[in-house]
Amino acid sequence: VTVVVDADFRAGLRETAREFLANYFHSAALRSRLAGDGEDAAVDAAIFDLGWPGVEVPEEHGGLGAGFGDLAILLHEMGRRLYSAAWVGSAVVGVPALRRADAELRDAWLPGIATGERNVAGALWGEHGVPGAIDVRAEPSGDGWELSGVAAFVPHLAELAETDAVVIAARNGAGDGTELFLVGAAAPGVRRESVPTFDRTRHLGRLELSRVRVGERERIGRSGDGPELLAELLDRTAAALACDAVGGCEQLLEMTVQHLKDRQQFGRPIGSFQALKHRAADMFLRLEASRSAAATAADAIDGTDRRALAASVAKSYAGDAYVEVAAEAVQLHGGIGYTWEADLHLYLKRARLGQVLGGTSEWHRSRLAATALEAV
Amino acid sequence: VKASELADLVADPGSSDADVRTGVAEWAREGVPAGWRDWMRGASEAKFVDFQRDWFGRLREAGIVAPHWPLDWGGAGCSLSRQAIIAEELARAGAPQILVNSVALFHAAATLTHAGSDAQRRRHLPAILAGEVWCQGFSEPGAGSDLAGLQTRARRDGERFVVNGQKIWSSYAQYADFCLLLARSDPEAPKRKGISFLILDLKSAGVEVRPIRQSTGEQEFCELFLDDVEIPVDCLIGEENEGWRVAQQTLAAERGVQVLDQVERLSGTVGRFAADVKRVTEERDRAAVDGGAARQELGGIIAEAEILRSICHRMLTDLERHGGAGPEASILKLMYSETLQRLDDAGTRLVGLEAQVERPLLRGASWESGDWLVDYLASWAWTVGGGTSEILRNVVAERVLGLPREPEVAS
Repeated sequence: VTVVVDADFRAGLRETAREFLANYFHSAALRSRLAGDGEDAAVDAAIFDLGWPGVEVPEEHGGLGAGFGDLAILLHEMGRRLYSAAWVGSAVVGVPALRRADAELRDAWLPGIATGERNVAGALWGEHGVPGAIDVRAEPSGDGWELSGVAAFVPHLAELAETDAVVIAARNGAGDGTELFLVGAAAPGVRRESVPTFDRTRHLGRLELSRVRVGERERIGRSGDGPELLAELLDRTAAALACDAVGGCEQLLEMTVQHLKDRQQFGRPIGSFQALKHRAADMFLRLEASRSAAATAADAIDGTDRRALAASVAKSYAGDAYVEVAAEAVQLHGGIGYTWEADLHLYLKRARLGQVLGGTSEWHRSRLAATALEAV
Repeated sequence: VKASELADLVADPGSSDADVRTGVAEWAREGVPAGWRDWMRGASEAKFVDFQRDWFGRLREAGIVAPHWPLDWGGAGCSLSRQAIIAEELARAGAPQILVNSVALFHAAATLTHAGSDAQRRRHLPAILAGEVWCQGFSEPGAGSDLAGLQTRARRDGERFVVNGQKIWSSYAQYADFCLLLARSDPEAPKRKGISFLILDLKSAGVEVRPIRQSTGEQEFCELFLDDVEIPVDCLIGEENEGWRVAQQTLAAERGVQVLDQVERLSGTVGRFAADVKRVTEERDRAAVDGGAARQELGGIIAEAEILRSICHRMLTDLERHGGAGPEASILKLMYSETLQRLDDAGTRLVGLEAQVERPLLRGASWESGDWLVDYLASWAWTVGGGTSEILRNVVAERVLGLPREPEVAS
């Protein structure tokens, strides 16, 4: 499969994203967002003007009509600045799910997502956040379905007021298949709450569904499409987290190298000591390997070739690399690295959440091993 | 596919890469001698050298012994991506590696192409394709990581240099005809300014070659003792005292497609690890093998091997599109060598005592003999040779990240 890539478009997108976020979502803006004082609201409005939520929304629905490889660039740059918002959930899961939905649903939702007015999160796993373990059941009921159960650790759900609907993975009670449904976030029988996490830059939520009625029209894809669509959404989630990790690693390495050049001890910059130099070199190695892995995963998602392999490679490697790079950054910054005031702990906490969200590194390595063992 | 047909296909810029891939794969089915691993187990040195010569000849007939050489000099003039395809398909077919002729095909050719005289190229490039063997005389007992501190002395005496000194870690020097020699021609100049690059005919009087037995039992490396060896001035490559600059070309050759070839071969070793995971978890009870841990290790190694391939392919794209490689090129050998070592370590642990049973050595299979412990020992050829991992980390930290250099110790 050949992926047609518009290199100029991507270079422009990266430059715009990097500059925009550096200017408007710097550390102070991030702190303001975390404090909830609302001074950062203009940032999101500007992002909607830039069209980021609609990167993969087709042009006829008001989007940019680009691919995951382009969204990946934004995810990377947002990872650098620890940005997160409800629309990111739409971009990673909501949009691709809705693109498979029936025409009426597409027309109803995609234009609003493209402008940032509406958000559709993805609840792809159950109580423990493990891919493939689904705790919502869908029972056929009349000419529709009735959903009951729990979906926890739902990314971007806690930007609560802003989430309009959720794509929910459910076990089909009539058979043993998997189905995906679009459920209104305020539909009768839906209870949602936010899950406070140590990573305050992202927001997770929990959904409890009690006999929530949805029509056949709200089922996404044709009968039998569920497992493959869910697999694709999970791979996208994994790849998205890998891109986030690469952005975070990149920023952490820059901060750390600067510190190693500036900080003087024993009459010389501490970065001239080989013991520290080698640790910085290892951070670079981890970053570059993660970068290649994430880029390959992004291409694979646009091309479908070796998608699961590339997604698991990227998620497991970059997820672990982010934690290691963040931990090294803290250590190499010395005392200041350990303070609330420095941003390093925000990266470390985001890395720790990213490592176990969307399938832990171990889950993805098991999947890689299982595939290889089948091929023996 | 007949050898001559493949040769035409590979050298034709109008043919498609997909056809080249199929062509190499089809040729390899007959062209790669089945069972070579069996013949080479416990084989004598003479048998090993014969086999290397035979394999070199087969590749030459098929037009893929020097895909990276220009057409004018008898190569196939292949693009980097086509070279990578050939390497991939040979690796996939389980082909033997070119070992004895490797320095000639890569290092000597790159050096002569970039810095040699016309006469030197005419004399040696066709001979290399005909099987002339070269070795490299760079490192010395006192000059390893600090290569520029080398002390072998080349004293100019009219139309010749008189060379005295000692070289070490010179692969396959015992079979070589010529040596790429670095020697100090101006002891007064700063250390990088006083080095000359010479072609040493190993049949010259005063040259003694002594093989060094490695920890694997193979004798790949040699020491060279040079005692009043005379080298004519026309064997100088580049200008006198400019040898350090020329040597950079030589060293660049070993970081290019050669690593790419190794990365492709690594996939085969990952497959062998997977097969062993399956076998030992089926054969042995749970107390003996922790299947979960083994699968975790397998998954991690698959990830690393896949990432190495991604890095290679991205590097190739960068080289072909922009003519230069990004920062990933500087870490390729570092990552490859450490992944290889981790993989061989994991295999050695996985199969347990089985890996401790010594079998006759599979000669010439270097770090992919299939005996985990042998391959593990051989992996140091990559983490130490061609710039140690520690030196490469310095290079990354100083040249890529811009960290300050270690203060020089006054000598």
